Amino acid sequence: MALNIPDVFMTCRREQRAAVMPFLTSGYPSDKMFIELIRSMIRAGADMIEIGVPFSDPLADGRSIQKSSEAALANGIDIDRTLDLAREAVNGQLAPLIMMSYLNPILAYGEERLLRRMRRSNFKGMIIPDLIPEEGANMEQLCRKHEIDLIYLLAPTSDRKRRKRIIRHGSGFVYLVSVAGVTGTRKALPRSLKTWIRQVKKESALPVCVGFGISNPQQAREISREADGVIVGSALVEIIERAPNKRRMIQDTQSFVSQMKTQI
Amino acid sequence: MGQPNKLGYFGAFGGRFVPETLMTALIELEKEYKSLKRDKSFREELKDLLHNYAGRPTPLYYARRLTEKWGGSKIYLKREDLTHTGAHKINNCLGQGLLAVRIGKKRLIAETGAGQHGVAVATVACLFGLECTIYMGKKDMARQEPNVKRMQLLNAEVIGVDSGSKTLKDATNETIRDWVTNISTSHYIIGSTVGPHPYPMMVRDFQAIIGHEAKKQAKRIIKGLPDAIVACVGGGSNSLGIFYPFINDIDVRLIGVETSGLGLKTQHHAATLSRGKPGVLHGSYSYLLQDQNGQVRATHSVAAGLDYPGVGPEHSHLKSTGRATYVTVTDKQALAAFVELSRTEGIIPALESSFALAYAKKLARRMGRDRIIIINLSGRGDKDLGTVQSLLDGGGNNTNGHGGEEG
Ligand SMILES: Cc1ncc(COP(=O)(O)O)c(C=O)c1O
Repeated sequence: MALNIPDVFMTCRREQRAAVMPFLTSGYPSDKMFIELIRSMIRAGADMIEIGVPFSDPLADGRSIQKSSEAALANGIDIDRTLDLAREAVNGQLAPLIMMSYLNPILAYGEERLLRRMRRSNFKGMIIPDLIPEEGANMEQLCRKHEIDLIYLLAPTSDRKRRKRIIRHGSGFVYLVSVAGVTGTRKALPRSLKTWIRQVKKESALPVCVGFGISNPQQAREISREADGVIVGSALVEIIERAPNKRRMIQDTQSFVSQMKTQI
Repeated sequence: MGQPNKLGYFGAFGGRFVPETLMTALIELEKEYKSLKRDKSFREELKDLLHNYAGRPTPLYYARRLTEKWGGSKIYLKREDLTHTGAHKINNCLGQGLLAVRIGKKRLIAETGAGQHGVAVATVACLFGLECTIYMGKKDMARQEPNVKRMQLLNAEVIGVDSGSKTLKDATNETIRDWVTNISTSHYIIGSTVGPHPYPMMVRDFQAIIGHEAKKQAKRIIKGLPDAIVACVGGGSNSLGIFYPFINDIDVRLIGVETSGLGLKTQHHAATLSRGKPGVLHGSYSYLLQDQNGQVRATHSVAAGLDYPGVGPEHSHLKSTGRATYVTVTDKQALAAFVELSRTEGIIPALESSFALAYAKKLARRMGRDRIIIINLSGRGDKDLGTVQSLLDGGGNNTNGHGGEEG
């Protein structure tokens, strides 16, 4: 049985390190490879894994995740397949999964119907990039009922009042968006990021994890000095996209996650 | 009826479903808009521009020959096609452009389908000395090429969007991505009554001048109110603009016309209110064309401005209360109306507006002679000559299409 999200952070705190959280689009690049890749991430020491449900209009995502999303849709991936694949990929493992989905596929599936099925597939958390706390009351209540952490995003543009609201309404951890923008790799992270993470950490009772634009283990290391966790998505999708064959795809993914793990 | 609640809901529809990065700006925008709405100098400046720059008020024209030809109710056309830049879109752009200047933004960004909104944004960017970037689906760039050239002449950067169906929906995704990235410098002028609160309310307010004028003109010219108002519905701005001031005049029928493209039985339509289900796209909860997994469907319409799977939340509300009715018209029927108005009155309408015309024809016959119908002629058709020519040449020369289907 997978750990709950707070347990993961407790372990990390004990080991005095940040949590490593890779992201992969469900069913990308194929069902079989997706399962292999998730397993390789776990072998490399991923503490949690974020799995993206593909959506036709991923407006918070940059080029790489848009493309993986299109490929997954073409491959017929929906929420049911995601639940099945996730269960198969991590059965018997400790690392909890977190579902990342835009709101509309969740509404179409039925919020409660989905939440009821998530834990069985090792999902312990939910990230909805187009759901803000003002609109989240119903989802928060259902998530509590089904013991799923609802993780809100916090942006560099969120003022003090909004930060407070997000921290109070979310659970699991706070997902701190590193830059105003969409997902995607970036050469450099904003210089103000460090002080800003510190600021949010001071205000937050929840762990603070940073994502969007983290492109390599060195950047992950810098961020891990301030944050409780580091989320990497586009960089991994790009590694998978670039790999010349399946063996390399798995090797490169695994070694990227291992490097992150040793760096932080 | 009319004002959304604090969270931006019209009944069950609306709200704000956006990445957190946008929220502070949306709250700010709402605050600024509410205070500017009461600001006398802002209102005076906008009024002056609408009059001296955009050419308002636009006429309410009695189409005598068309009325005689159709042989039913009297047809009046609200001539938005006569505004500067050739469509109702300028009303919203002047309002939001002024607003952008007041809140200190240096750059305007927007999506466009038919290109009329893009042209209007590029125009006000010149007028106010702002930078301008317009996103447009590659398919729309090809079918509305004259408007691409106009935008470029007006110094706008036109970015072709290659993702998804390469139409309005995809252009909107790209504009939102740009906005999230450049939120501190850029104002997004959404082109219709869609998007997160406060846009649906704000765009409607800026477009309501169409209905306010029409009401005044009707009282003067026909000594009363019309029996019905017919307008096409893409995102819903020209229709809400003309409907809104008549909302409480319950004897006036309000009819929105959607596009059933190649037919409602095919997947090639964009009849959101007639065939969709409520869902979330582009920041609000409203009717949406989607599959059973909540994936947004590809749409089709001969009119690029109607080729969109969503619709403004206030329309979803008006549908649910029954205050407005929504019907559909096929591409073929709209094309026939395009040709018919051109040849009967010497007015070349936008393809979008032709959908309203085609339905009004059927309605005029049904309602009979002693009734009055106002059609919102939302734009002019210069942009569509290429599309229409190739369709008419390609054997689509069927100008006998009739009316539409009740939705
Ligand atoms: C002339 C014209 N009419 C109608 C529309 C549809 O938009 P809306 O429903 O917002 O009026 C467009 C959109 O591009 C347009 O250019």
